[in-house]
Amino acid sequence: MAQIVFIRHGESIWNSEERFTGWDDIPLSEEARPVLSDVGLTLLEELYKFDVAITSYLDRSIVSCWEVLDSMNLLWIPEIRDWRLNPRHYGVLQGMTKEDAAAQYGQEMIENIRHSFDIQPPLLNENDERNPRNDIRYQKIERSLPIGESMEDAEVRVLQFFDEVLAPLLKEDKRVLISGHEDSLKLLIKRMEGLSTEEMLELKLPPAKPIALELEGDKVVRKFIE
Amino acid sequence: MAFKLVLIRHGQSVWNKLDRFTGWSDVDLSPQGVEEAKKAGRLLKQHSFVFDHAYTSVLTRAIKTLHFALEEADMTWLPVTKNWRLNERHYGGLQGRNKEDTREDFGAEEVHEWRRAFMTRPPMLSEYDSRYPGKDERYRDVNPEELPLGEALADTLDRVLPYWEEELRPRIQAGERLVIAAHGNSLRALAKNLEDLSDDKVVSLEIPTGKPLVYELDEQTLKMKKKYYLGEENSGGNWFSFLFNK
Repeated sequence: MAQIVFIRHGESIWNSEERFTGWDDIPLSEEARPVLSDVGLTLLEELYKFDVAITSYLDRSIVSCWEVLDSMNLLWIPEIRDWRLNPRHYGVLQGMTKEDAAAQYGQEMIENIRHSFDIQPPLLNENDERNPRNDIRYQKIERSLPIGESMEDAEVRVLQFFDEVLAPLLKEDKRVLISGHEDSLKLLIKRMEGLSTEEMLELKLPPAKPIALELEGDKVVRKFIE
Repeated sequence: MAFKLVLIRHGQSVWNKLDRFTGWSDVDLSPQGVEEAKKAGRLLKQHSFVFDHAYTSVLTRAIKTLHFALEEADMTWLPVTKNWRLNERHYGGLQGRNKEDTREDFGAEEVHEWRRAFMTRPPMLSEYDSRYPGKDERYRDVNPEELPLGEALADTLDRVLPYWEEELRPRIQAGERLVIAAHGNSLRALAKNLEDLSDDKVVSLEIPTGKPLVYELDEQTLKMKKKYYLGEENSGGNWFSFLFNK
């Protein structure tokens, strides 16, 4: 039976600082690692197994995945990296504290950018050195890469990922672990459960708390694994 | 111009201290092994190595060596392929056994022969043995006829080389920069091919752990033009190091 477990990466060294992270490659905090190995042990106790693991292109999602697989003795399963699981790209806000961003763009604007579906952050300049095009890891990707995204923009690429990568695996009855980021995971859950945009925006996915989606007939059942 | 290929041999495992035959037994790195992997990663970073793809076996100690090295080198995003053909030599019925005990049971000469001869196989496992790879789910997609019950070094070569021909060679030929984290004997198999070593030579080839081994390969033949270990450049007074690099 096909099964998916989502894990949002553990706390990065910036989560605790209330900064916009987005595609900045900020590592996990040291404290997050043992939390993730415990997640692996919980999954093991609950008899979860995986055939394949998928991560974004960001270190915090990859290392989170490795910690979970290591404590499950599953490091040997195939791993897929897909940039389309990256979080929403926060444009010029990336690296700024939420306080500084509010001071510069206004509190209301920042709240709108964070909580609405279709409002983009101020985009990076194409020539900005932070344009993902300048990052070696994305150089082989032919599709256009974001320089700032609304959730609506991010949904386009998350859905491409779903159609091209995830759905075929589920059709083969694979058990899949996805280590991603809150935005991309919310958009995947929206697609799989058929949620409305409002319901999706309301979802809260705490870090390092695995969520299972099980396909029972044509129904998708979601639960936190504890 | 030459293509570059980097090999990393995993470091100490938790069975080293117990002096056991490991082979396909899936044992973890020791803390020292973790440090060796991190050191390899720091060397890659210091020498500004960039890769397109990473390869490793399906054994935890090699996979974790790759992971720790990539973390140190800020390259965790690298796509990774894991394949059983890069596993360590399969030590058959010796796996898990203490080396001293096997010397008592079989005689020191016999054990030496198993460890150092090219063609000699260890005592083979039966398919009913709990150590038979067919019972391990990580090999469920491998044709059972290809799964070893015990290997001479020659047998290890025979299953590594198809992977070189079908997977690694075409990628290198296409200009991809590969890093491979694996085991003493699967790396020997690759080295034998790259360096055209004789059977006798390959048996005595010792690849150190924790030091990335860089091959520069001829673009036409993919044979070795030059090899060196990272970390040995600028090492100064070590006047004999060039002998090992020859």
